[in-house]
Amino acid sequence: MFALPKVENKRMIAVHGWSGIVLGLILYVVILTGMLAVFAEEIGDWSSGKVDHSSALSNPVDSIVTDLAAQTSDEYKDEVGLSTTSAGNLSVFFHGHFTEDGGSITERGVRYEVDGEGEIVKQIEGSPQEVFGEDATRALEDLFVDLHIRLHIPSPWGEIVTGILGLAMMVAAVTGILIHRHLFRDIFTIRRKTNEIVAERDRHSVAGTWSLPFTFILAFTGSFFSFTIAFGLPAMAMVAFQGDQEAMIEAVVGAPPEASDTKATGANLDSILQASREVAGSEPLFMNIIHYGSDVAQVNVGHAVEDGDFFRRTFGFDGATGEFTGEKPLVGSEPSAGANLVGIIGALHFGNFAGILSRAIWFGLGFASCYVTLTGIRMWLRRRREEQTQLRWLEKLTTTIAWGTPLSIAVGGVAFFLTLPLGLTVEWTMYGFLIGAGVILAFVPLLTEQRLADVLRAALALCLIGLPALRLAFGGPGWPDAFAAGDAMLIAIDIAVVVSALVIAYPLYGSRRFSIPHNKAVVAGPAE
Amino acid sequence: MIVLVTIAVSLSAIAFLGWVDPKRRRVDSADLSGQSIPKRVAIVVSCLPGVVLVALGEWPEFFLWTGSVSVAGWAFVVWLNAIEQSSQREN
Repeated sequence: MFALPKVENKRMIAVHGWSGIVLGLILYVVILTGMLAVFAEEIGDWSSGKVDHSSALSNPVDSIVTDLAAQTSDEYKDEVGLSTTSAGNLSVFFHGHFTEDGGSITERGVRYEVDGEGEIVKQIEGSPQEVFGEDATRALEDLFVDLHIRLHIPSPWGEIVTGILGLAMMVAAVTGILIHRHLFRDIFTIRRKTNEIVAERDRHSVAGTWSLPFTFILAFTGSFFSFTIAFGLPAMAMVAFQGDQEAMIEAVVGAPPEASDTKATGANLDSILQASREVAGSEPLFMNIIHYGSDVAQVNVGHAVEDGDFFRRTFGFDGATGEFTGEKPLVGSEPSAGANLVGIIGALHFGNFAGILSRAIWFGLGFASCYVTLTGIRMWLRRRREEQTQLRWLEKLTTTIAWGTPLSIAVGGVAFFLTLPLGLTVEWTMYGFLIGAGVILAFVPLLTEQRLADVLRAALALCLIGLPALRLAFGGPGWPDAFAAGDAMLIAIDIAVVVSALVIAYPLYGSRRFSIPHNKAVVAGPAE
Repeated sequence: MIVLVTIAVSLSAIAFLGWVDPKRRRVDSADLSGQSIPKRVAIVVSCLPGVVLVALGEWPEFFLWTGSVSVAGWAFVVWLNAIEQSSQREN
């Protein structure tokens, strides 16, 4: 495609190789978990046994909110957020905004969880992180989503690392284009009759070429989100608003109405929800009431992404009269190209703009990116196998991370199901992940690379087969329950997990190397 | 519905291009007599649905189309490679 001079081509090959070899293994972890995160909500529902996906906002909420407000401290009544919990209950979060000594603004309040009978089943007081972060039923989902966003490194350092990884992915993509002279001409060609390095190179470049547009899109959008959280917003607050976070939040999400001391009964929330249903043509997902109980109250109702849209829509209503005030943009107070752009960036990164179809495609793109990353690292190492024997440890490490990451997550899943009835999933899902990783690392020095790949592959297949069985054994809904509730996703995930286990285990079937004890070094390359 | 039609059209053209690709056929020692088939037409047909979606302003459908073609195109090449490999092994 491009014919660079020899010296520059050599430099580009070096940049391509080193950007992959230095950050490739961590990048693989981020991409793999991102691939799972595409179905985070579905995996969360599957693991928590949620088969009823109806919104708690489909039922009347006005009297519930009024009763809860009567027992809530006035300092928490500035804002109220309503949503559905993973158990299908109504979550009502009354909270206020407080300025700390350093000038930063924090939210604190009390969150109630109300079941279908109108009974309070849970009541927690604290910051949003405290009241929402302890959802034991979503611990498995949180495990890989947090790995994807920040590798479980405290904020903002985790976001900085994942942002840099996104940039490395873009560098690898750009240099990949520059060094392949026949990028599109070779798009169908995988040479097998030559040596294994050439075949590996072809497999790498074919997968890389087909997924190229999305490598850019996913890397750019991922870096955008990482750096926005880590740098962008704090820097904007400092530079454009002289550190005034309140002014920045008002500019970014739109200024809330001035608070008023005049009390007002307010419009019926059920009527507002009904009006929003009619405007959007779909069920509401969440409701947010600003300056609750005052004459300047404002109500925003959010809906899921509709077919043909890139992002979810939020509609505004006058809290006192119930009058529709218009659509609320994602960013700012007025519709703008910037707000649309932010929405599009999110949709393109998460792949959630066309239901299951777009998410299945994004999952496939994530798989292709994992494949490109691993084959790239292996190719770089194989080329140096003869001259640089000191890099053998890196080949073994690649195999360890390639199979060990999904295995550790699967062990986290096993720990999740074992501790779900005890309500200890928040801690034990993470402990399971760490124990899995620790055991894998303990095996690394004891086995040859090929043997290690086989053992990790077999262990992963076993864990995956065990997950649906454990889900059922520890009280999860069976297929008849899912059928009765019209939830095909639970059945689909059960099948997908078992099929994945069989596909992973299949190369080991009848494999002599897996049945014969190993007492000498195995020369064969790493498993595909 | 429109997005499924556009994906089907592009994938048919890509399948054709992959099947007659001279470089791939040379690698597989296949008969090269099919080279005169109008490849340029197939290239245009494979890209045309994307152009149509952009022209219609159907951006979500355009990205669905691009993603589907990327994943399915790669899967097709891998499959083509696998069947050639197994047929060579049998011979």
